[in-house]
Amino acid sequence: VAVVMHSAAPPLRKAMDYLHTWAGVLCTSVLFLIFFMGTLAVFMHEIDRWMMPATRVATAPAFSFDRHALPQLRALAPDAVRWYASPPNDRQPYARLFVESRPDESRDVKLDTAKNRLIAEPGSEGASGFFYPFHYMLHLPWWEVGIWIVGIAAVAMLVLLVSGIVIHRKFFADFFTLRIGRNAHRATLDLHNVSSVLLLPFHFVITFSGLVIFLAIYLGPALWIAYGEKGRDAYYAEAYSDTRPARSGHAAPLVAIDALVARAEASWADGTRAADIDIALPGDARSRVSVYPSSEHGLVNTRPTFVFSGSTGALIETIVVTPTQAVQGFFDSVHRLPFVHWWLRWVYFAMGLGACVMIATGLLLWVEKRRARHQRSGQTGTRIVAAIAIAGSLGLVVATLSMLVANKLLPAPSANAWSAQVRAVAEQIVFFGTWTISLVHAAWRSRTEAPSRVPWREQAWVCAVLAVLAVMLNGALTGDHLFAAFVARQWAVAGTDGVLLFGAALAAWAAQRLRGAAVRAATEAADEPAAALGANAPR
Amino acid sequence: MLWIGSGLAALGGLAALCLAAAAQRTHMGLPPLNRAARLRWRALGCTCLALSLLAAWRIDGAALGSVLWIAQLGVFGTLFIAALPWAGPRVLKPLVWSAAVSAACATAAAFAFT
Repeated sequence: VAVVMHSAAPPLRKAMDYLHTWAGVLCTSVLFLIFFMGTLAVFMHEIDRWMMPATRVATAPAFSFDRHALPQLRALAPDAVRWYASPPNDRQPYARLFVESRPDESRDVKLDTAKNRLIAEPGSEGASGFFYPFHYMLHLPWWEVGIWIVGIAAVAMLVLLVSGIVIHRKFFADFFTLRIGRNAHRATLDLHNVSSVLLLPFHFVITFSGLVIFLAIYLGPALWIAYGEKGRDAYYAEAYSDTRPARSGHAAPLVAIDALVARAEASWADGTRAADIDIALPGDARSRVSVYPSSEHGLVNTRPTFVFSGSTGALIETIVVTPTQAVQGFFDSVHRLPFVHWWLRWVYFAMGLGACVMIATGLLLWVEKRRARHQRSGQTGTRIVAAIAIAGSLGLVVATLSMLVANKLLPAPSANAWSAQVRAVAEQIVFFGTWTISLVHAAWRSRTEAPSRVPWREQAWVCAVLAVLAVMLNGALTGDHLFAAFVARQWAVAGTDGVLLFGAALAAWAAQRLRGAAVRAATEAADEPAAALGANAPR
Repeated sequence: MLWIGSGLAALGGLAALCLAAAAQRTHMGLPPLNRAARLRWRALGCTCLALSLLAAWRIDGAALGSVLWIAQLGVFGTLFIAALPWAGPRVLKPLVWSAAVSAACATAAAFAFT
């Protein structure tokens, strides 16, 4: 019986192959979306500069909360329950101000510290408002469903990585193998293997750390059991000292906030600057000023947060980072790179693109392997997956580039906030509209009788054209063309333009190669019947 | 300077390990190596990679340096392998030696002056 059971059980490698194939097919498009948006988010503040020309401002030599932020905050919401300010930093030349008039009513504005005036609403969510949330919550905020989908996809990614290692027979022997030649299937498989194996530490770490960041959400039921009905709020209050004081009803003016910031910075004693200043109940006798340290110096930020009384300036609390928080902070830093390290940031960007290549080639392998079989049997499954694969990978790039083009072509918003919101929504409509068109195009051109590479080639050409168009429009409409941005040391604009032009060249090259491959495939297909006829001809 | 040293050492190490790999030599049409030669290439590759890791640690400390090293090794490795079908074996050996020598010089200089 034992022998029969042993022979009936599938070998581990075969079982893992099955798991790898189907987990990949089901999750690939979501994973590509998460990784592509995450790759863009690596440079989200720089893309923001490109998408919001009004934020390309100079920074004041030194930021003063009392001189720069306080008058604006008082003008925005004098009776606010909370004021929040983030000083300019190396990646963000303006200060960000946040006012919470009531617990459910807030406003976020940008402050040009050099001219000491608010920057007009740009009419765009930019990369930090659109691409970044897309990366971690898919723009599905209701009941945190987007975060849960991303979490499930991350677990699937870990499964794919482990099963991929098991099924890769010659892990070390094929370590350096990339056979670019006439056999497109072999080249695609090698590319999939190379981008998987060499970037394996990145794939593991970035996926696992992403899960750790949202641990409090994924462990929601456990928190509910541990903390009762108060659930996550009680957990945050205990873990992060995130408690809010109650109003006393007695008015009391704020002390000089700059002095409190200076005291906190002196206590950190290693040149660390304040990243955020949070004032709860400004103007009340129980107001509290929290000064948070910047994370710009390394992976682990163990510097404490200082909480002062806003009315007396006395130190109320020193919030020390616990070892557990430090561990979570480490994974958070590894994932989000909050510190300034340009070389590592570029390396992360390249690795993100490598992950996209790995995911896209995996799906391409599935489609190409089954295309001929499905074509013979008249099944439509491959066509559907092919259309989803094209729209989910190249289509997403097309949609992103069309959004960048729309960002330049849509008229500037008028002074009122409503006009800016309409413009921002219009950009997003262009994104999702183009993405839908890409899917329709892919489904139409992926019909079984057409060569499989046609929709890929056509969308690659669209990518190339849109990327060049975006660069030209940015230069023509803002005056900061690549050369001018380079001379003016606008590195964010010059870098985005440079990446777009490089991407355009890459897309054009890929389209050319796909055309060559399609011509070869057509020639071979035309030769096949003739060769068969020749072989069967009577002598 | 240490960044250059770390990056070049990683690239040189990978190229040396590539030259030591039997399957890769077959793909590139290079003659097989005897055991001693293979061990020499592997030793050179591992030394370069260790040097690269040391330089990364020196730049950014053990935690961030390790992250930087693994990350740049992955990217350089991918770029190196992607370029290999076009570059071919002719450039491989000069790449190993130039990378190894310049990496050693850069790293030594950086350790001496920082």
